[in-house]
Amino acid sequence: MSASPALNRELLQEYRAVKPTGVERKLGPEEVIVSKTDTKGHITYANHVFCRIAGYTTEELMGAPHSIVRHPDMPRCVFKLLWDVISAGNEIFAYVKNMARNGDHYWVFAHVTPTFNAAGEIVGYHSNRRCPDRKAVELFEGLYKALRDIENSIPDRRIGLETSFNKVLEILESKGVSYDEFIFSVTPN
Amino acid sequence: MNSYLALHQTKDESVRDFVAEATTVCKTAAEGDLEQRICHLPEDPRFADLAIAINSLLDSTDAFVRESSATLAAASKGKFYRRFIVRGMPGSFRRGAIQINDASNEMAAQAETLEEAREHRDEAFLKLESLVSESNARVESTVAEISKILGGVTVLAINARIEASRAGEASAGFGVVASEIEKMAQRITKSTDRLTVEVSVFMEESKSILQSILAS
Ligand SMILES: Cc1cc2nc3c(=O)[nH]c(=O)nc-3n(C[C@H](O)[C@H](O)[C@H](O)COP(=O)(O)O)c2cc1C
Repeated sequence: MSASPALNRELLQEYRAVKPTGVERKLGPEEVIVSKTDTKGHITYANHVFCRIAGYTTEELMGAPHSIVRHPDMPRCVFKLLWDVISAGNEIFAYVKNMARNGDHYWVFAHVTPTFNAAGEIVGYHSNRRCPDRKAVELFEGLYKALRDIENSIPDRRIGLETSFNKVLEILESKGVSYDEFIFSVTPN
Repeated sequence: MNSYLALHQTKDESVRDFVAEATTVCKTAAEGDLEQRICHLPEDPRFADLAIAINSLLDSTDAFVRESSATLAAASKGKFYRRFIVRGMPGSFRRGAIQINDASNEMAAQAETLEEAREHRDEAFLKLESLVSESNARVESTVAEISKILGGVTVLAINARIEASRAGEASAGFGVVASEIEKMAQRITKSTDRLTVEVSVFMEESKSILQSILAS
């Protein structure tokens, strides 16, 4: 169930032209953004909270790539980690800064899980996003800025991604924790 | 039932499509497939609200199932830090989530107690092992001492027998006693030899039992 490819193309063009406004939108404390995608990350379902905060209609989001809400401040290595983990059949939690249609941003604490069919194959992904803790947002704002700076300072994109990804591993190693343990340690219940 | 039929037969096409889609989605969900959602929101705001309400119900249920199975799977692997994120879970879902977290905490506490118990047990067995070794050493040294004394007794008995035979008829009885002492010393030597063998068999068996318990 996807919108027309023409609509998807139009939307992407609009997205590329938008600049971040620096204005923050906030999720209600008990609100949850829900989306489902196919195996390539194209949206197959977006709930009303998603539509409202991102500024799109359900119709428009159908079939659009999930990167339609990608904020330029997000380091690429976070999405590499996300895809590495979920395509291997595991769940992941991540703090993500997203961009609404007009360039405003909203922070979320995302949980992404694969959807399996009866044969145990991955047929898509599901994501729940909750209102993040403020302290955690401040922490990740700083961490992501450092990772983004690494990525931007290296002209070769591939090497830039590798370097920032290794930086993440280095940080975790210095703390002696896994990524999941780290995320839960900075997330209040 | 009547209103449902009425909606099915309505002339308004968008409402009819919505009812058909909503019916399919609810039926699939009732069969345990929580993937489907109503993806075409009807224009009539009353039906749009109904569509959102159905989707929200499915979203909460879907999220609860995903989260609870992930939390329990993590707990069963000893990853107790993976909690059920309670925020955003309404009503009964929240209570269920809290219960799962409580259970997971309980499991974590029990795992810790179990680990402590295992450490205590290991300590106790190590003590027992050294105790067995020590008592074996004491038995060995006692047996060695007995052997030494028996050696002395045997020499004394032999000498007594020789002296008795030199002294002739008058001390023949004394010779009998001396040779009895000699025989007794031999019997005690045999018994202590057997004792040494038995103690070392006991030692080896208890050591291997202790080791097999420690390794478990
Ligand atoms: C279920 C699911 C949810 C996702 N949610 C987001 C999201 O909220 N924001 C985002 O920027 N990327 C999200 N992604 C990742 C995007 O697919 C994409 O990898 C990312 O935006 C980076 O875009 P790029 O690969 O074009 O650089 C999600 C992916 C999946 C599978």
